[in-house]
Amino acid sequence: MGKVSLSMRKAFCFVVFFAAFLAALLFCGCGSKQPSEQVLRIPLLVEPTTMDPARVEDGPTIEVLMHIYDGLVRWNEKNQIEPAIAESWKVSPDGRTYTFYLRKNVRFHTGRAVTAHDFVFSINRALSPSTASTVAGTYLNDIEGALDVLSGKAKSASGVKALDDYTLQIRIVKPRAYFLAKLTYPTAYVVDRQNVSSGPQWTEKPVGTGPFKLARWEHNSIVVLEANPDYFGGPPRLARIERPIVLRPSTRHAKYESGEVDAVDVTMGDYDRDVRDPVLKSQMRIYDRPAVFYFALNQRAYPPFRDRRVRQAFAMAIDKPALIRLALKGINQPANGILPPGIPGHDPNFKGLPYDPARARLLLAQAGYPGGRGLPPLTLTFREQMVDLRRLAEAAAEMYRRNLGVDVKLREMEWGVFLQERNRGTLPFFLLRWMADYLDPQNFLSLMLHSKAPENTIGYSNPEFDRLCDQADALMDQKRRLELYRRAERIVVEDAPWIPLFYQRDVELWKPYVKGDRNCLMGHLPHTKTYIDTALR
Amino acid sequence: MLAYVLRRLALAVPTLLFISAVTFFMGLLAPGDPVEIILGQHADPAAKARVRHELGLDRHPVSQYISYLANAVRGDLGISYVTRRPVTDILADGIPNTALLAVSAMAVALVVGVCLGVIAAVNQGRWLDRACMLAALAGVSIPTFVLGPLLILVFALKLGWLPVAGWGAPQHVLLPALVLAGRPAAMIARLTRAEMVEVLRQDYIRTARAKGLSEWHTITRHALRNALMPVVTVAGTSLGYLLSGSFVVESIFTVPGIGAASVESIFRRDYPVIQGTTLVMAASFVVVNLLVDLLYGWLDPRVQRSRGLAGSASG
Repeated sequence: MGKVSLSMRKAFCFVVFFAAFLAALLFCGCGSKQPSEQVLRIPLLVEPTTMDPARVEDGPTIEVLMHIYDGLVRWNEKNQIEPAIAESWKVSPDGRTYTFYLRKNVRFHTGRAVTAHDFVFSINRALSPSTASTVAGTYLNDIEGALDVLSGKAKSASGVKALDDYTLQIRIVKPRAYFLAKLTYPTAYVVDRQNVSSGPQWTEKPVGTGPFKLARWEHNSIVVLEANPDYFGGPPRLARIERPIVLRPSTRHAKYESGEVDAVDVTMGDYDRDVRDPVLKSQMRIYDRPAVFYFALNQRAYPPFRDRRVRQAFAMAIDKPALIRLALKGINQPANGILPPGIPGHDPNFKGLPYDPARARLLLAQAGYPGGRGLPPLTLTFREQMVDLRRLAEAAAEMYRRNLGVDVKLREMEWGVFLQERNRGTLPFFLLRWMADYLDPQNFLSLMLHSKAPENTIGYSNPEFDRLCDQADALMDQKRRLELYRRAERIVVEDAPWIPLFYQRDVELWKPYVKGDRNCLMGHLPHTKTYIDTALR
Repeated sequence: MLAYVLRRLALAVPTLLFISAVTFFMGLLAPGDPVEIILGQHADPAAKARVRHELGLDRHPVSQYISYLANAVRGDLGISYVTRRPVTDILADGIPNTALLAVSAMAVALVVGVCLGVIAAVNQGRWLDRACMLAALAGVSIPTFVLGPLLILVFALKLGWLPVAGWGAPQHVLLPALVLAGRPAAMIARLTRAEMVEVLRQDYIRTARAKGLSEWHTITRHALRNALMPVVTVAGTSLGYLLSGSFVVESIFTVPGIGAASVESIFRRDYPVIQGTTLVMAASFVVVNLLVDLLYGWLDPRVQRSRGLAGSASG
């Protein structure tokens, strides 16, 4: 019994201690949210996939890497390409040779000066099969000899040369007006040879040239960047950027409301409540993004779509403003064309195919399917667990039923399976988004809808469209190029292999004390000028 | 005793083998080519073939599985397709956090559950009993994805006492531990109440009271120890669940545990990480169940004796 009484006394002590511990934790938790320094806190939506710029392909990770590394060129607030490590450049008259003159004051975070040889190394490394980059083939493939390196036939691309320590020459296979735009992508960033050769875990301690250094990366928890006082563009005003990794939108939003983070994305689920709250509404910012949501009509998987009249009927039966009102709370802008606002060549006056149910019914009847009779069963596939897309698909299906008499079935599909089936060309009718890799019409028209483009898995082919794209892709005269792309866009919208629905808009909340942040169409720019107005915090 | 432990450990081997085989072959059958995950869908065919060969994916599935097992025994669970980090590193990052959360949650569950159960039993039939059992019912019924945001709303947004989410400071553990503790606490409370009600009717309790012992002494010294025996089993099983990482709670409160790593890997089709986390979760179940059985025998010598007999009979 003595033993028992002792253990019970211990248990009692434990309960008291435990209660005191909980109280202490509560006490610790109070009033510790606001950092006093110049610290910006923005949640990351996912764990960064890598700190290797040659391999990165997801937006959230790119947003981190663009603070750590630099390339030759970059985007600015006017959506134009501006010098980064390259102070200036010269393009040869035939449009195939680019000569970059590098700044002489650029240093890696280790203090070593960056030279043209580092760019030669970085580009060849990105192309090397051992790097296994999924994106080098897309962004660096125009460089002479790049394909040989990618396929393992050569160790270095013949088109990349260091003429001296601060002069880099890149030769491309054909004139490409968008080549510089491709070089803004992280796969063309410069890396430190010593750093990347230090072992497979070098990405845990990456060395770049950017305005911030990676100070801490606790996997699945937080990424902390600290200012690089020796940055060639001048030291950033912020001392630190903290990026807590928060997967759930509701948790991110709660962290913003409690003051644990300074900015957050707003999902459709939170949007209604936020616009009703005067404080949150005043902190709301809406950004246009270079992305278009569309229905794809696959001629290979659904034979009736080979008839242009059927495709046009499906396009003209959709009331896009109503769709946006019903499914997207009216935030987004209807897409009349393929090219989103901000992409060179976007024509705000282009009306596209109008919403005209009577004409749509007539076209369908002329194609041999009056009132939708005779059409094989049709299923619209879209990505699973996307509430907005489900609502949008349901509204569209109702429009098809009402306007065309066609019963469109809906099917949500797991994202990986969806992409796989889409690439195989098995989905007859699907809802998808295309976001620009770089701000150029080639990235939408030639890349997605040219009959020889690998991304065109829906069997669309129009020789005139192909001819205009081929011609525009090779032109250096921007005015003439854009004119050709505009003509190509009109053809493809009339042909309706895609039904463009709306352009992407991001809604975010930003605390009023965050000042000086910069943005471009592609996303937020590095926080080199951002600061915290401590008087407002 | 040693023979019993060894026998149980031997039984764990086929269990883990079965789980590893299921996860491994499901990974092979799942849509998505690992080589395309690594190199991209439009990669050069020669590069794809090379990576396929390097990863051994061009070999027969059974041969791949045997290699996987041989490496796993040596502590090598492969490399993440997406992040290129060794899976063991990813697990080593996550396990301590999941374990800390699980143990904290179990501590909360034991303290809250036992207290509620005792209070309810002592006040059987009165309003306090009903209130405690109502709380227990709520603990069992309210799912974590509701309780989590609810506690965030109250303690973080309205009262401002605790952070919404995060990891690294002591106060970050409290809310997720409370949410995770809800279900086991409720189960422990109901079980403790039932056992206590039974024990309090026993003759030796009447004797203790007749001897003039205070009610506090009677309950704590005589009734509770006997009533707690079944609670150990429930607590142990619950700990197994908690240690296997709560996907939902870790994701709500951004706890960098194996649940979070597992969720990320599923979304990214990172099969080596999925296989690794599943194996660790299964192993934690097996180990905790074994420990609970041993603990039970230590607390109740009758159980130990029966195992000994069983051991002699079979051996």
